[in-house]
Amino acid sequence: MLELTNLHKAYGPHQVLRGVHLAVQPGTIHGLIGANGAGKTTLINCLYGLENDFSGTVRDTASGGLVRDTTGLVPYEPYFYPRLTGREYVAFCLQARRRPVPDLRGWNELLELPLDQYATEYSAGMKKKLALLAVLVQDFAYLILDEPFNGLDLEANLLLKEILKRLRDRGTGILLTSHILGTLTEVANEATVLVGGLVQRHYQAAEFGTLEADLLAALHGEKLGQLRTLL
Amino acid sequence: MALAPSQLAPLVAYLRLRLRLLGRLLREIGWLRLALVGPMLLLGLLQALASLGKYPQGLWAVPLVVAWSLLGAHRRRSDLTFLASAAPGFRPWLAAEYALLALPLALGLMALRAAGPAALTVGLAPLVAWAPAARPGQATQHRWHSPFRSEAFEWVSGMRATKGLLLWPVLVGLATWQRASPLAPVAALLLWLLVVTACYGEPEPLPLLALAVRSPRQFLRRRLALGLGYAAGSALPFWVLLGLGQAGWGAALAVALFWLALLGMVVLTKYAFYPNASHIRSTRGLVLAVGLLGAWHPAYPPLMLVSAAGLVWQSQRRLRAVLTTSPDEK
Repeated sequence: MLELTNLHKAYGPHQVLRGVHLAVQPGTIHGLIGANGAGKTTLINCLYGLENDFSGTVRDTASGGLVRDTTGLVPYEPYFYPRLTGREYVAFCLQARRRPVPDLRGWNELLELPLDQYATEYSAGMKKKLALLAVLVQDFAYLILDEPFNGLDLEANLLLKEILKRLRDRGTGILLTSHILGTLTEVANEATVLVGGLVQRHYQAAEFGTLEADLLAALHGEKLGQLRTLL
Repeated sequence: MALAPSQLAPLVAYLRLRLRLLGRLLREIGWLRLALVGPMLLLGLLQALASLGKYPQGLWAVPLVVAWSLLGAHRRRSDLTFLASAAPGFRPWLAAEYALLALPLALGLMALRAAGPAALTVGLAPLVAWAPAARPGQATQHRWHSPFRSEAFEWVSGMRATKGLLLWPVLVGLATWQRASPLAPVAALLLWLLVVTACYGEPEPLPLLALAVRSPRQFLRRRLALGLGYAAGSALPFWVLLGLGQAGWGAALAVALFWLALLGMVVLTKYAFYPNASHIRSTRGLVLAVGLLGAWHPAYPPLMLVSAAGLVWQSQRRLRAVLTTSPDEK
């Protein structure tokens, strides 16, 4: 299990995370929900060890080692070297972790990427799929996916949902952020709502029915009153 | 203890990746420009080392300059977060890369029988790999608005990236301390020129350019006047030190004019090859190599004059082309 306990993180005087607790179980999809600036990406960076100056504990309870040793990350904006093809990018991601480079044809029949073109020339959706491909071929125990549905068209969106469900069924633990609430609640087993760096509430799948109304109240309480006077 | 080949495999993969990227960048720059830039840079470097060789204490500046340059480039690397996530053990790879980059200069120092500075050059360079990345967010926490910031955007971002505002008082202090030798203010001016020219390596986004340009000639005049004005203000203490020293005011004026001319050419280079950053940087290297060699050799000033005229023509032509072509066509 990936576990994050009493996490505090600040940038100068600005407190971004304030005592956050979160756990990602193997074989589950955990949704992380929050408005822009709620602290989702900072939480992911702390969990993955990309930020160091935070307080609280972050650990992989099974291995006791670093989270990033057993976890693949697809960041919000994946980085690609200029003048490097998609195939070379995936190969480097594998070689960097001392993993053999497999035949990519099987996965690429699903994702349909022009792997021999420079990755920087890809569209936003193709870039997201390439970053996904690089973690999918590595068989990680956990995946952290920051807005993986961003930029994907309908077909790719449906396919990704199916891939995530199958990974979960095989035992992979997935932490998933998405602004598309419907998509997230369709695949997630549980969700954590982050508001202003604080965990507002943990939800189990059975409680997702109240999620949208709760979020509306939390994020737009005052505006709802105004809306009622207008409509 | 020797490392097993399997342990070295990721390092080899990383170095191979960097070589591949470098090869493709060089191919993009083109053989003609490379044929001009390569020998000029090499000659400039050899000339600088040979001149420094006359002052054994000066050779100790080489490891510091190399480490400082690497540190500036390392902290601005856009792939550090990617490497941290894709390759958790990446720092030693960067250390190996930086040691390899510093090696030719160390060999040059060895040729000058400066074993100490050579060892320090190769010893310091790898340590840079453990420096943290520059955090862009820090700057935005303390942002303030002024006409200076909007007009001198190259200087604002360049000085932040190179830590030039910290380096400047150090250089002024060192030049003042060693003012008995004219070499001190000249060396400080040279280093300051490298810092200032680094501000002009990154092309601004097209929308910003399109908003600012009424006509290419007017725009270039303004960028040149502002850039040279700021640069003159920052280089003034070095010129004064040179004038007050053995070199005298005549030499100080000549150095000042030469220094400003070089910087002017660097400013023009940015727009002559807009928006291709690799072409801008490679031509900037060529301009600096030609210009700095000109300080020693009488055959080069005519070449510099021709280059300056070519840059004026090409920068106006390029700006006109960029502003009249739609983004899809470029």
